[in-house]
Amino acid sequence: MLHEYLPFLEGFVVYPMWRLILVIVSLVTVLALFGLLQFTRFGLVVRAGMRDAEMLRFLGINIERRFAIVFGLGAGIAGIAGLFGGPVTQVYPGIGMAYLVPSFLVVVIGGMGSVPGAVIASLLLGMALAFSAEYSNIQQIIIYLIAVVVLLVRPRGLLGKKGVLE
Amino acid sequence: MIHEQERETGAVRGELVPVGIFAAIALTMPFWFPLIGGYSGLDTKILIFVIFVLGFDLLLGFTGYLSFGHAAFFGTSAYTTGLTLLHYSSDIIPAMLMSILVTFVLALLIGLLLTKRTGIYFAILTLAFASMLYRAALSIFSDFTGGDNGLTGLPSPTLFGQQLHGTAVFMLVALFAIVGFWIALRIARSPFGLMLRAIKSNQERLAYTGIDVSLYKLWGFIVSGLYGGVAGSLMVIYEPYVATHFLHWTMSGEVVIMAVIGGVGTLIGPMIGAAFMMYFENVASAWIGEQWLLVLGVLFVLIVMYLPGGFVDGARRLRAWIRHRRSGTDAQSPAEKDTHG
Amino acid sequence: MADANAAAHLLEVDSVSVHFGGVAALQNVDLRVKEGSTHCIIGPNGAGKSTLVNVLTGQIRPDEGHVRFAGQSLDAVRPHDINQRGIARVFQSPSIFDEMSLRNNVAIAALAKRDGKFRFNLFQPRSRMASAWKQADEKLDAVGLADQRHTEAEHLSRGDKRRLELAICLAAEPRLLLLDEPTAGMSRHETESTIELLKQIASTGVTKVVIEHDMHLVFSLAERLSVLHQGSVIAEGTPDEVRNNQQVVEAYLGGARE
Repeated sequence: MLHEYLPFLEGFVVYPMWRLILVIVSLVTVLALFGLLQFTRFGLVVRAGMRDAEMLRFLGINIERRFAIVFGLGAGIAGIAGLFGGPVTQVYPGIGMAYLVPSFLVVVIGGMGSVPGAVIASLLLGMALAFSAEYSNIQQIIIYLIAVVVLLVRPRGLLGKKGVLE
Repeated sequence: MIHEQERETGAVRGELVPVGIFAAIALTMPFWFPLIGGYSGLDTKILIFVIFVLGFDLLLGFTGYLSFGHAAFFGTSAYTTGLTLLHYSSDIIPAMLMSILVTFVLALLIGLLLTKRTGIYFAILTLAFASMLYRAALSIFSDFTGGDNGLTGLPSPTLFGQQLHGTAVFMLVALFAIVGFWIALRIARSPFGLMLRAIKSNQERLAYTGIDVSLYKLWGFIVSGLYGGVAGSLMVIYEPYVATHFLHWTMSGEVVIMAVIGGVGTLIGPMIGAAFMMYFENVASAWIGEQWLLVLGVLFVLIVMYLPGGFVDGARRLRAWIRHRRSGTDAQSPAEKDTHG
Repeated sequence: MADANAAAHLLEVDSVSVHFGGVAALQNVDLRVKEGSTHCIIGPNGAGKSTLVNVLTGQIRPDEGHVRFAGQSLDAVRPHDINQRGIARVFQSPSIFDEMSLRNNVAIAALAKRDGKFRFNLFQPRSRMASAWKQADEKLDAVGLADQRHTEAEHLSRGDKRRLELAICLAAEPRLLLLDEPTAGMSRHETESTIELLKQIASTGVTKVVIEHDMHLVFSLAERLSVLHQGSVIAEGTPDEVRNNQQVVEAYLGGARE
């Protein structure tokens, strides 16, 4: 539609600025989170605590406090998603509920305890949703179908680690 | 948790006393329930959820498997009942039989796929199956299910040519609830129930004892699903209308909350939890006003944080405390006693 | 393999090999265990002892070779069916039903023995439970835990948990008892009482295969010994024969000999 008013744009794809920002923010967030969990001492302790919290307690590490921080981080990241995602979707009081189950699915399809897994899974589900948009009948079913198929073939999800929440 | 010795003596004593007490409470509900503000019909609904939550507790409380998709059984059965009433006969017998059959097949199929899954993966897969059914009911099956509007225009259900109204439906539901409770108790105290609890406790040891763990798990799942199926079918008989939210995951969530606040694994607790939830949502909410959901949420958080064993745990602690106060000596609380080797 | 002696062997392991990736955990392992005897398997860490136990109970399928139990092949038998045929396993750290009373712990095994691997059994619970409990009480008595039968298992000491696990295994009335380092992590005193208990069980005629580190236990229990080293059996015989086998002394026993 923009082309009609601005003919010199012919041949260009118009991409909304906000969505570009969204892509960048999401990339930065994911990389920062991955870096935090993978390359810092804090991340090491948290990942170890995921496997064997008891052992860390014996080592005199206050793992509960770190889990609380992780919980807070998770909430904060959800907040970022809301902040930057809000303008491109419809906002209503129950919007959290609508994203709750799909985000569960993303985590589990990706595999518990794996950030790259979650990224792959969210891309997978997002693409599935986008490409099935023409067939509105099955659009909503398809993400659950993917979840079922992935989990039946790979019981721990795509990149899940053994022993996390089983 | 029920103390082991109680479980053992319970198995010897039989089910007559608890089932009798439950029957007395359930059957007199129409007389005393209005006195505490319950409207007619809510008692029926409470007993329907009692059936639902009993089945759920047989799964979560015994085998330790959290199903986050029990609405699948409730909802599928509700739709089956609705469709049978609509297209075949307004008599409830074929409708209920059909519902139970469909629920059984559904539980068998899901159960077979899930027997090797544990923990969070089990919960998510049940959730995914249930959500798939919900979405399917709204989209590809919407010609049959009425889509977003739910299944409407059902004939009022009959039994042997007689129209079923308030009291008759209540009696029917109460009968199912009493029988359901009796069977659940029977399962809890049977070798079958012992095996289910063993699954929760230590699957490896159970398998090495020569038990086919997946078969017990599968049948535990099916029995649990059937309770949901019966409840869903009764819901439509009580109110000849199938709402789409019967299949929604919030329905599954509701039954989880009922079981947890009541006391998972105790049978009695989840029934109390169901009654409490329904009463709170429908009666107490009116006294509290608009903020009732907030109050309910805070209540859940408090119960889960400070009373992880639910109402039943609370009652036990209270009893121990009263005994402690009365005796005045250094009587031990159960928590202390547990630490002795 | 059809020699006259074969019938007397309860357990026959024929040239079993297991590979994990490129690593050979077991290579051509042979094992013969006579009915009613106590056979110990020793070897340093990583020798393949636990792999061998997992092969015997069906958790790991051998890449080559066969396992025969009571004359029948176990090649295609599911793990719990292997247990139903009469092999019971005692784990390195006691595997019991923590939240249940000792009585129910053992009753489960008694029911498994009587009802088989599955039975949808709701409508005659009282008499069946009562008789299973009676059996359980007998087994608990045999391991000296009868007076604690109403306690929940998690409150037991480690030594008593081991006793309970033995009671569970005995209630299944096995023909072969597999013990995977039964005294691991126990005090000297607990070890002694476990040895006493095992000797007592030996008198009931059940065949035992014991995986062990503790030489004291091995030499006070074993009738025959196999020495595993890097996935292969390097020696087999009576304790005295093995003790004097130069290869074993060099490979393994040298320092540990008492």
